Amino acid sequence: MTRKTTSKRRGVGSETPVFVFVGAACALAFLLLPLVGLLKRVAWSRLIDSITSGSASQALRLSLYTSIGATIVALVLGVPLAWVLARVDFRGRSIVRALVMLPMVLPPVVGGVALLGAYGKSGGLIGGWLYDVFGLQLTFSRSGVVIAEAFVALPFLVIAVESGLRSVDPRFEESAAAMGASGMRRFWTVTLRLLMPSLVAGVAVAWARALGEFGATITFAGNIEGRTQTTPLAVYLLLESDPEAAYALSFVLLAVCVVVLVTMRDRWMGRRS
Amino acid sequence: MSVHLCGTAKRGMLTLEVDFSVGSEIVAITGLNGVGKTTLLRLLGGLISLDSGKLTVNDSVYDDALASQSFVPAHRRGLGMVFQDNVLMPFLSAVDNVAYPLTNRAVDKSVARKRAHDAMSDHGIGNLGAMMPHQLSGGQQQRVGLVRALIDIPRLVLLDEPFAALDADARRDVRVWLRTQLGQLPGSKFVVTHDSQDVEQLCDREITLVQQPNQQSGLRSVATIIR
Repeated sequence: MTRKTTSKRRGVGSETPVFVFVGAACALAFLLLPLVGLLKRVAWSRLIDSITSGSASQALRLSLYTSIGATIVALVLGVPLAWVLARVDFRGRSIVRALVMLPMVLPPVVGGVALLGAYGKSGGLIGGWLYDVFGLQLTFSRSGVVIAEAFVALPFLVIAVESGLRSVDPRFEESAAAMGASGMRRFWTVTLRLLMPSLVAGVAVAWARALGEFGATITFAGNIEGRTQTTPLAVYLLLESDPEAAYALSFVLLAVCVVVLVTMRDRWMGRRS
Repeated sequence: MSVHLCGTAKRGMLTLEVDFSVGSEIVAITGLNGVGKTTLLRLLGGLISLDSGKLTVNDSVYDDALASQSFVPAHRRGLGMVFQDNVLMPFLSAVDNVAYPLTNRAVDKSVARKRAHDAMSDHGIGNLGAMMPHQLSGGQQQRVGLVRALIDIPRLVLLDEPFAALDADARRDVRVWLRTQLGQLPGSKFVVTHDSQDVEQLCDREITLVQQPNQQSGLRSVATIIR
């Protein structure tokens, strides 16, 4: 069908009733109004001061390190999992996939409680063992923050990479094999290369999700300033004591998310089509 | 230098039955659409395995349905292969595509690229080196794909309709060039084609696939040497 006929197409099915437009406008306003409200409350002239002051800058720095750590954990664990889900036929694959998705819909607090049940020093499934054998305590520690963030971020990465792997045309890998590339080389020189857009998108979403993690972190790793108090936790506390700093930090998180979204759309999703 | 293949392979509804021996020759594979020509090529290339029977290349077993550990995977068969839809790596320039088989053997990248460039120049497409596949016409892609298939002195050449994207004039040129190139290679060379001129002017032998009437469900194709 040419462009001309689509633009001129008229019929009962193609007409949009007025109330739909009104509803759509309301939905958009519903989503944007809080963001406008946030931006209006930001004290722009003192923005830099607010986010470089003691506890705010500490929280930002901690968030940066832990979210990057969590993204690396998600990447290392998530790519093999996505590969198996996308390319290995086994019984119960749909069940495994549903389990992988669980942290996405699970209330983060419940995730935190579950993490305590697994890695808690006393009473955790393997937490006591980790402490006895390696002297490793995850609860109320920085590594605990990383674990909590990775727990909620992993599914986002797995979904993106799995769908990416499904769209990788196996002919390229076959062709590489026919040119003498071993399985390992095929993965590094062909599969990974074709997977890159999905991988970048998955990393971006997982990182953004890790950066914003609140419920699981506060439950599992606690809220210790300078050690486990990430930016979202700091925002929550500062809202009482120093609202200006809270709004400034919120703005930083919002800005990062916008940048992530824009990067993904323009750089990667646009190029694929 | 020879290929012995005797056995069967199943692909969906189709059962392919083959039994032939060829030497260091250029062998045409002909037959109607859907009769299993590409399947035969994939069998020789190790992209699929035999369901029964045995494949021997140059006196070494490449595939034996009775001994699955004897299967030699595609990347260790020393192939020079052109796929039907001629897949150049979309993220590599033409010259890097041609160099890819060399870099798989840990040949130094600059050396590989030099050799790739020389091979392309010999074929008169040296000017295309820096182009990305999507910038090339179908015919140009096919030429790059052919140069790439032959650059690493393959032990077994498998070409699936290598001239499909070329117009009549280019086809004649490339056929002559290919005839010379293939003549210098020691192993067996297989060319899937629909064109009787390819068969006459390029190939020494011809294997044709014919669908057999079958009492059971499914299709049965039999490959036989007719020349």
